[in-house]
Amino acid sequence: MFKPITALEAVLSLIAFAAISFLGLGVYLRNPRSWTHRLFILLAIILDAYIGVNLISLHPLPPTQASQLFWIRNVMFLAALISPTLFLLLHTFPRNEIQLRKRYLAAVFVLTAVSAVMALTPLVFETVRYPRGEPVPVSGAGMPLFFLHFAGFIVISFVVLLVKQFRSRGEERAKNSYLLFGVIMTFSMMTAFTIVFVVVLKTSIGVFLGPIVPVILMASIAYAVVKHRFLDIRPVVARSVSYIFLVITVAAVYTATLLVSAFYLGKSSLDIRTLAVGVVLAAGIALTFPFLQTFVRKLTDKLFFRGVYDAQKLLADLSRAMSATLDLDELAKKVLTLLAKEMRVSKAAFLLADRHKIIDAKGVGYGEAGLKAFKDSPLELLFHRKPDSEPPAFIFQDLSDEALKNIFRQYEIEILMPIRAEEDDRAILVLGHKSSGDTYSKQDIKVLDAFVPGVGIALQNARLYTDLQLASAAKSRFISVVSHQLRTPVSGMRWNLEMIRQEKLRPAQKRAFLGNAYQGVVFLGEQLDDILTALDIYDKKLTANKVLVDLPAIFSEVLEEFSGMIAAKALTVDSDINHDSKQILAEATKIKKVIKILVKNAVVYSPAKGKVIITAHAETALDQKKRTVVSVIDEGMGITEPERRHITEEFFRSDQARVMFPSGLGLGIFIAQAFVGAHGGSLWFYSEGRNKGADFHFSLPSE
Amino acid sequence: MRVTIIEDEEILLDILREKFSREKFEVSVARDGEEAVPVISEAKPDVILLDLVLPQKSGFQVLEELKADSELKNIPVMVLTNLGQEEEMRRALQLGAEDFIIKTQYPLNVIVEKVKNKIKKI
Repeated sequence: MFKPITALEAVLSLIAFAAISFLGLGVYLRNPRSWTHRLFILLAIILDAYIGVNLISLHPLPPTQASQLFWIRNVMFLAALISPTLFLLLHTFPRNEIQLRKRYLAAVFVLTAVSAVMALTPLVFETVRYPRGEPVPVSGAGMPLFFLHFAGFIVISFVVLLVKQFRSRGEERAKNSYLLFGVIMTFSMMTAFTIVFVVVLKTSIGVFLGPIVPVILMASIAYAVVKHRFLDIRPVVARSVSYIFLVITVAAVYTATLLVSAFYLGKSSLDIRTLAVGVVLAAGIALTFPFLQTFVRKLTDKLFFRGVYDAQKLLADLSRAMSATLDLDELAKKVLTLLAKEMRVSKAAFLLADRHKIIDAKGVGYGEAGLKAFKDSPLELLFHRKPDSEPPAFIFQDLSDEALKNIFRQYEIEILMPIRAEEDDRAILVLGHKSSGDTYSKQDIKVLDAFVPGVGIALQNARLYTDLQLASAAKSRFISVVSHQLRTPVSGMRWNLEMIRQEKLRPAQKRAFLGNAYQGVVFLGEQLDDILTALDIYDKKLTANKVLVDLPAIFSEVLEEFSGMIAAKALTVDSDINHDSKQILAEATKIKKVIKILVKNAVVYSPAKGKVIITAHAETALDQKKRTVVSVIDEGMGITEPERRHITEEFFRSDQARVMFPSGLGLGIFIAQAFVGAHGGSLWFYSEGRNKGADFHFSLPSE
Repeated sequence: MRVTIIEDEEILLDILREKFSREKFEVSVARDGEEAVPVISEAKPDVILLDLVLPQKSGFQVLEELKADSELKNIPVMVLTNLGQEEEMRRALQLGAEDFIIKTQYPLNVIVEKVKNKIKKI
C-alpha cells in the first residue's frame, strides 16, 4: 500500500527544490527592498515546502493512513497559499511597492487564511482510501469552496496579466509575456496532475511529476524580473551552438574521409599511405578550419542576431545625415528615422531646450500631440540631474526612482540621453520601446553614446542657422517697415505742396492741403523720434529728469490727440484718476509718450464700440515703497501666449496687429518699457488671449 | 476714364482722389484689402492703383485675388506704394502688376500721366 520512494521521484524533487531555491534567492538578492523580489522569494519558499510535503504525502512516515491524510492536508494547506501569493506577485510586478489597495489586501489575507485552515480539516479531504492499492483522498463538503479560492486567484492573476499585457509597452510588455507563458504552462499542468488526476480520475499517477511544474513558473518569472541588457545570453548561446556545429562538421568530414580511405585502401593497419592520408587530412583541417569557423559563425550570427545592425556603418550613415542639412526639421527627421529604423525603435525625438526649458520637440513616431506634450513635460528637471550610469543615460529598466519611472511610462520613453554642446545642455534625445519588445543592447547604448556629441553640435548649428534666417528676415522686414513709415509722410507732403503750387485752388482748399502737408511733417518727426529713441535705448543713455507733473492734464491731452480715431470707432473711454495721484514725480514728455503709446494701442486694436479704461492710483508696493500705478485696459485683440514673450522686443508686431494696423514700427511697448524703466518704475501686462482684451500697467515710484 | 484707388492713408487718399477728379477721372476708392475686390467689381475701372501695405489683407493678397478672378484679371494694376525692396518689387510684378511706383519718387502729374498712358494703350 505504501511504496518506498523511487530514485526518479527523489531526484526530480531534489532538482526542483534546488532550482526553485536558487532562483528565489538569486532574484531576491538582486533587490531585497523591492516587493516584487520579496514576493518572489516568498513564493519560492512556499513552493519548496510544497515539493517537500508533497513527496512525504506520497510516502508517509510513519506509513499509516492517518499520517498520509495529515500530509495530504498539509499539501492542500500550502496549495491554498500559492495562488494568492502568485496573484500578489503578478499584481506588483514590476514595481517596487505593492499596488493593491489596503482593503483588498486585507480581503486576500482573510480569504487565504480561511481556505488554508479549512485545508487542514476534513472539510477539504475527509479521508483517504486505497482502491487498487493507490491512495485516493476523498473530498469533503468544503472542497468546492477551496477549489474556488485556489482557481479564483489563478483566474484573477491571469486577468491581471492580460490587462497588463494590453496596457504595457515595449520591454514591460515583453517581460509580461514571459509571465503569461509561465502562468499558463504551470497551471494547466498543475491542474492536470493534481486536480484532474486525483479528484476526477481518482489516481495519483501524475503526482510525482508535480515538482517539475513550479520550476517552469519560477524560471519564467525570474527571467521576466531580472531581464536586462547585461544578462543578454544570446552571444553565449550563439557561440556555443556555432562551436558544436564546427565540431560536428569537422568530425563528420574526418570520419567520412577515414572510412572512405580505409575502404579503398582495404587496410586498417597504419602504414605509410594511411599516415599520408592522415597528414593530408590534418593539413586540410588546419587550413580550412578558420574559413569554416568564419562561415559557421556567420551562419549562427544570422540565426541569432537577425535584428543586429553594423554599428560602424550606422554611425557613418548618421554622421553623413547630420552633415547633409542645416535645416532643423529636416536634420531631426533624417537622423531619427535612420536611428529608429536600424535600432528597430518605435519612436524617437529630440527635445530642444533653451535655458533648461524644453521649447520644442522634433521626432518620429510620437505623433504631433505626443511631441507637443513634451513641451509641458517635467522632463526638463533631468537637466539638473546627472545619470549615475556610464555612459550617461537614463535607462528605464535601470531607474530606481519610481516617480521618474512613471514619467517615462507616461511619455513612452525607454532611454533618455541629455545632449550637450558647448558645455551646456542643449537638447535631450528620447527613444521609445523597441518594436520587437527587446531591451536595448550594450551595442545600442554604445552607438548612442558615440552619436550624441556629434548630434549636439549638428543641432546647435541648425538652430544657429534658423536664428540667422530669422534675424535676416527681421532685418529685411525692419528696412521695409522703416522705409514705408518714412516715405509715407514725405510723399504726402510732396503731393500736397505740389497741389498748392500747380493747381488753381480756393483759399479754403489751399489751407486744407497746407494742413495735410503739416500733418505729414509732424508724423515724420514722430517716426524719426521713435527710431532715434530706440537707438538711444540701445546705448542705455536714458534717464528721467523728474519734476511734479499734472497727470489729469496729460490724460486729456493724449485723449484729445486720439479723439478723431475714438469717435470714428465709437469707442467709450472712461478715465479715472484717484485724488492721491493727480500730481506725480516724472519727466512730463517721457510719461506723456508712455501714456500715448498705451492709449494708441488700446484705441487702434479695439473693436468698434469697444471700451477703453484709463486709471491712475497710488499704492504701497510689496517692498513698502509708495508708487503710482497707471493702467490702460481695453477689450481689443489681446495677446496670445506665444506673443507674450516678444511683446516688449523692439520691432515686434503680432500677425494680428499687422492685419489691423499695417503701418507701425513695432517700437511702442519697447520705448514705453524703457521710459518707465528710466523712472525706476516697471511695466507689465495681462491678457487672456486673442480678442479677450489686454491690460497694460506701469508704476512710477512716488519718492 | 475710371480709376480705383486702394489706399489706407487718409491724407494720401484725399490728395489722389482730388487730383484724379480734377483730371476728369471717375474715381472709386477702397481703404483696406477686404473692401478692394468688391469695390473693383462694382466700379469696373480702367486702371487700378494698389497700395501694398493695407489693413485686413495685404496688397499682394488683393493682387492674387484679382488675377484669379476671370472678370477682373485683365484690368491693369499699377502698384503705388512706399515699399521698395527688390524682393517686394519682384513679387508684385510676378503676381501680375504692370507697374511698380514708389510714391515718394514721382510728382502727382507724372503718376496721372502714367495712368493715362496705360489707358491709351488698351
